[in-house]
Amino acid sequence: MKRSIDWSTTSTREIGIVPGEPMYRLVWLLALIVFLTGCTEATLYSWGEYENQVYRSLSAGSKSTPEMQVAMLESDVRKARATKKRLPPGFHAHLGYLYFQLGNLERARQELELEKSEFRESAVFMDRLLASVKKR
Amino acid sequence: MNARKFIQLASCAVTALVVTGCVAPQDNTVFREHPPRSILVLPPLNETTKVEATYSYLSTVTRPLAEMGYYVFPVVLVDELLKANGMPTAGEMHQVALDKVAEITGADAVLYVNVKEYGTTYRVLGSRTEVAAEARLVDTKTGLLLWQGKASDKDSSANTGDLVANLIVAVISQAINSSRDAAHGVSREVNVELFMDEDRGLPYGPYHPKYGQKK
Repeated sequence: MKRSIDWSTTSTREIGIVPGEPMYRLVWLLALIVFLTGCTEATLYSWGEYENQVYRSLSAGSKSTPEMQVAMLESDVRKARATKKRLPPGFHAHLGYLYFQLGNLERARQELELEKSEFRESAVFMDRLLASVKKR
Repeated sequence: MNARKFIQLASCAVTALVVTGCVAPQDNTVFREHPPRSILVLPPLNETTKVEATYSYLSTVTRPLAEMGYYVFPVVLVDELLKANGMPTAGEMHQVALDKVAEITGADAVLYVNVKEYGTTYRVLGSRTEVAAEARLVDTKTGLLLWQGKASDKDSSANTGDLVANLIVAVISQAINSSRDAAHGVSREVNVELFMDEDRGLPYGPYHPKYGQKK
């Protein structure tokens, strides 16, 4: 005998998905994955690797070098440009600081200026940093 | 109405008051009188035994604040600035004079975070990660408390006794643990609750499309 399942009225329990069983967990896991990937919604900024690079900068004993962090952040700049999204507050200042650490004062200055023009709230702090970059 | 019925009714009313009182939105009068555009996050004070808590937590605070519409000062540069000015630890940084902060950075408000719980306890069957934090936002011009909140989150990965499910759990938690410690991930969840909660979170800042609306 052929039985067809009427999906509109069949509960998960009837098709053999019972709480606590592997299948049940799998369904929840799939739902969670769909939910999480769906959550790449409307953020104000293109975050990319910024938070992770900040974490690496702050972590004692991190193997990540300023060169590696610059490469990651420059790739974020390209991605943000492609998606026409703003980079988050502090991003350009942080990148400028990395360039400063590498001795590239010209790029450091450019990034600090960018932070200032993107977010006017940063002006006092950026001017102070720019002044100390120029003194070098 | 007999005495018994009155007591029942009265206790009902008290319960209702307590319950509704718990979810009441917080009073943002002072905040609205001194609305900040920019927030300077100090490295959190670590009240736990895990040394990594301060800087791991610090790196997760920028995003929720920025997404709420505030300018957030670059945390690494702020940390370096304070260290260069004779404040090597978070404890000393939390004592910094507000007028000095305003003068050097132009920040409208300073966020003081205390990390109360941080870390993972491993057991035979799975593990438990717990993070708890409190935060105070203070106006740099007046020293007034603009907002405060606290939040915590737990994440348990249990050994369920089922082969397939355990494999999935193991793969996922390894993937997370290989890139950063579990408590770091939980910190992000804590921040969402702390800053973005509809009732007790921060009001929207100037870069948010809903700036000036409700709260």
